[in-house]
Amino acid sequence: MAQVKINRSAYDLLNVKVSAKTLIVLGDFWKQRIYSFTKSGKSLATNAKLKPLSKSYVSQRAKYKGPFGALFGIKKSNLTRTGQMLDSLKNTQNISAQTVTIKLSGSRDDGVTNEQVAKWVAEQGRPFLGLDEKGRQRMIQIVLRDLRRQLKKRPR
Amino acid sequence: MSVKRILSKNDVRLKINMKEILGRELPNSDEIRDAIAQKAIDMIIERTQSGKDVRGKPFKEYSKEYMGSDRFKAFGKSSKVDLTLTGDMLGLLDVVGESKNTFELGWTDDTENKKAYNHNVGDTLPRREFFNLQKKEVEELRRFAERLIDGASKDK
Repeated sequence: MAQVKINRSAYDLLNVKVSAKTLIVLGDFWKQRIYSFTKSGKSLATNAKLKPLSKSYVSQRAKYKGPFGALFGIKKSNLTRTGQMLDSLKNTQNISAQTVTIKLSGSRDDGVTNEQVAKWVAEQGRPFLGLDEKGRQRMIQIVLRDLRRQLKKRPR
Repeated sequence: MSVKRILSKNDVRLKINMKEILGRELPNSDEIRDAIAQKAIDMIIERTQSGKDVRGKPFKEYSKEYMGSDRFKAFGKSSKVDLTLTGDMLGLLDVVGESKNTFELGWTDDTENKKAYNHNVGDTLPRREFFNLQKKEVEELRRFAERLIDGASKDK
């Protein structure tokens, strides 16, 4: 699980909350960012390329018959085999707590939860749930726009 | 000059002089200045993402090699040329300097600054010039600013 809480300090004084709609936008943005960067072989947790696959695992993958997740490649280190784990990424929002959370949902066909798979791949040196600095800056921009829009609409 | 562009490898900026555009000074309001700057940013982003360059012409097509790349597919791109892969370059376009009647648009991030330079001059990529304001966009910015200023003075 990965979570961001909006630091509201100055906006607390103005009694303004990030709107539900914007929290959803933030969640969608973050979920898509994790998905796309991971599929491209980069980890948002470390801001670096995902650790290459071992030779033995590559040999195993060469024998794999499917189903194949999007952008599966025998030698590609993008946390994709069936695609179930990354496809299960989900974003939730808590308006009162002003948080956005990204989680893995559901289970694989063998009963192992996607959350467990994510934990395991991180332990193997491929953490991927996180937020890079540019992603953070973009989320800040989205929040500021929403708050400015709300303040503008307020009667003076 | 109402709009001046600086285009060097380490410094890509657009200086917008609202006093020249409006023919009068801006009122002393951060809110108004922020809103006008954001409008200018939005116009550049919208036009760019619609696939048009600073002259209103379609951007040069992406190469087959680029479209076949894993990164292109990982970010779910189509053949529409909109200078949006991760979205970071356009998403991080921001106000980088301001004074009473002027503001400067650009990037604080060095990588995004270099990307913008490259797109606009065609250094190691095909030239896709997006960073400037068309005459009609300057006029639209003027009208927007006038409406804001008139609205603000009526509120008092």
